[in-house]
Amino acid sequence: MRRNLYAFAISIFLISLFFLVQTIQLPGSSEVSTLIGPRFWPLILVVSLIFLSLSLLIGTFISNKREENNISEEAKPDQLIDRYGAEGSKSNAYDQRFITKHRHWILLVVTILYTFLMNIIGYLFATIIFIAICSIVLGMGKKIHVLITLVSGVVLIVVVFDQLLNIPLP
Amino acid sequence: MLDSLLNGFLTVTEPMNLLLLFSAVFIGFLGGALPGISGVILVVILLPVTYGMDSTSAFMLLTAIYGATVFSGLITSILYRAPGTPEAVMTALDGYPMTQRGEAGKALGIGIFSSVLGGTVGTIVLIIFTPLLASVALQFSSPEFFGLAVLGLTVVASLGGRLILGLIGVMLGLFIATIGIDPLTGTERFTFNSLNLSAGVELIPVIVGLFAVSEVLKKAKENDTEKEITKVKIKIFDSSIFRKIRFTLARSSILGVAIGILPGIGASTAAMVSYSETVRWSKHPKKFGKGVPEGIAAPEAANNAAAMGALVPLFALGIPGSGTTAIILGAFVMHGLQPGPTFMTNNSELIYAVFVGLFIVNILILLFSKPFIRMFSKLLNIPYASLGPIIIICCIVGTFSVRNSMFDVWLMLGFGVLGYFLEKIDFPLVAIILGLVLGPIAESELRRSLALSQGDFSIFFIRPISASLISVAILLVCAVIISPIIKKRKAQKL
Repeated sequence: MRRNLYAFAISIFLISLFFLVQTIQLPGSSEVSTLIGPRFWPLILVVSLIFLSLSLLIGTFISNKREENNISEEAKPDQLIDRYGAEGSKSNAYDQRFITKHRHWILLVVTILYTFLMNIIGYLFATIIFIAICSIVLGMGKKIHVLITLVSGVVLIVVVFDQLLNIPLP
Repeated sequence: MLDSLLNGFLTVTEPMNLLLLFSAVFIGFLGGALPGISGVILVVILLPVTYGMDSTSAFMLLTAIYGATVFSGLITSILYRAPGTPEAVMTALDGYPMTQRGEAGKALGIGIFSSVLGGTVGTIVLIIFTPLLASVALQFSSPEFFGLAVLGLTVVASLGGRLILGLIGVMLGLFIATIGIDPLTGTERFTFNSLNLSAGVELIPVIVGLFAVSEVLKKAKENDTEKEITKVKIKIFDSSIFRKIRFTLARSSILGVAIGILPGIGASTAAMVSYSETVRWSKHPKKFGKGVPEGIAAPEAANNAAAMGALVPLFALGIPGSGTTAIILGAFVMHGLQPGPTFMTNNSELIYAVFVGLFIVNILILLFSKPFIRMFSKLLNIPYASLGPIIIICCIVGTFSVRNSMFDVWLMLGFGVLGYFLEKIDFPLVAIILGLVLGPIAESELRRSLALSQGDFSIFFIRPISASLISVAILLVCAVIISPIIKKRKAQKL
């Protein structure tokens, strides 16, 4: 969590710096016909973002230090082992856990491939393949369940989206 | 007003609209029942689908789903101690102990009756107060609208979590809203010569990506767990119980709707406040938490009343009362409508149809909740492996259909990944939407106000209404900052 907060604060800070440069290049109030130029509002926002990201960074650093001090004062060595997990407890279900752990990334890659594929082989065919692969990736075991999901998806697209609601399909 | 209500009634009772309302209630029921689909996600998924509908039907559908989901969260809360929606968290405190005692049917009956009563009181207040508030707000000009936008943005302060993350979210949303052509000068801002970005960032890819796609990615890591099916016999109205809970119902409904009207304080807070107030007023406070009817009636009447109350500032002032209403505000903008003081007069047919629709939703909940709960036991175990791909397909089709743009689909996937990471740090995603929706109003009204005052910022503080609105906004943020410090000091003294 702390590492994620640091990464987030630093990312926002860097992005804000990048956009600060872009914002400064926008025409100011004196260069346009309106009293307040197009640079005014984004400049307030970018500067606020820089200030807020720095505050988050400092706040996270301070609370991290405080927490570290508390741990070193309170925790005993055996408790630390409990806190950070005992070594050598790798279970046999490692492969299963690996898939579960990375399932969301596999799903994202499948979705990206699907988005590419729909322009090449057509939306309907790409969707059929996507539903089948996606439901298996998400842990569906039985073939009949995959088939039911597939049929539901196709009915949703053809009947509901295309025929009933007349929504343009990709 | 009576004429408008009658017109609204005639619109709603058209067969297609009635069918739409019925579907909305059913979809809303499902929202509270199915794993991984909250009311917000349902509104988000269906938002692009409504693009092809006329505005009246679209908002009848969305608000009806909103109303029905607030109700349906109680089902899993009472039966499995797994609140289907955040609003139903308090309901589990006394609902689940009743289920454990074999009184699930009784608990559900109290919950349904209280929800319908709270929802009806809330709708009546919505119908009376929205035009009143809007007529006051008709005298507003640019500084007051800027004040309203600022007040709307402070909703972020009450979303929970760390305030600084909420503020960063609002700033990010406001900044994203500046991408595209500046409407006042025609200058391109942050478009990097891309034609797609010249038109600005659409709301739909951001909303769908942040809420729906990120949720599917999050759920992909979890394993489905089968729930034990509970068979119950529900009795919705029991006169002996009603006599016991009538004062709780009245107090909670009024308290709920009053809390709901306040900007930023949604149905979840209303349920909590109402529950604690009921405990305070009770002669037997120690019985709470062990399964007493008042413990279900208080949060359910309050959260349903508050959900309707939260629509008052949305329709009358154009500022959302809660997270979900922020998404509904986005839906209005997507349909080319901007809720606010003039909205009531310019779109009275739509507004009154929505009002009457919400009224009918409460009747439909009363009529169909029993058969739904019977059917629900079978629906509960639909695996997420089936729902996940269908949700992604809805997201892609919905996003593409807004302006036939594959760029928007890629943008949506990008925001999906961003939302996934942001949720890891408990980031209030609604803050980005608030900024994105209120950004254009805030900027244009700020610049117009400053043009009026020749660049003098005191214009916001010498006009009583704008000064009050901005002061309330500042007070709300200060209250969030100060209250934990006071609590900490109190705890240290003890």
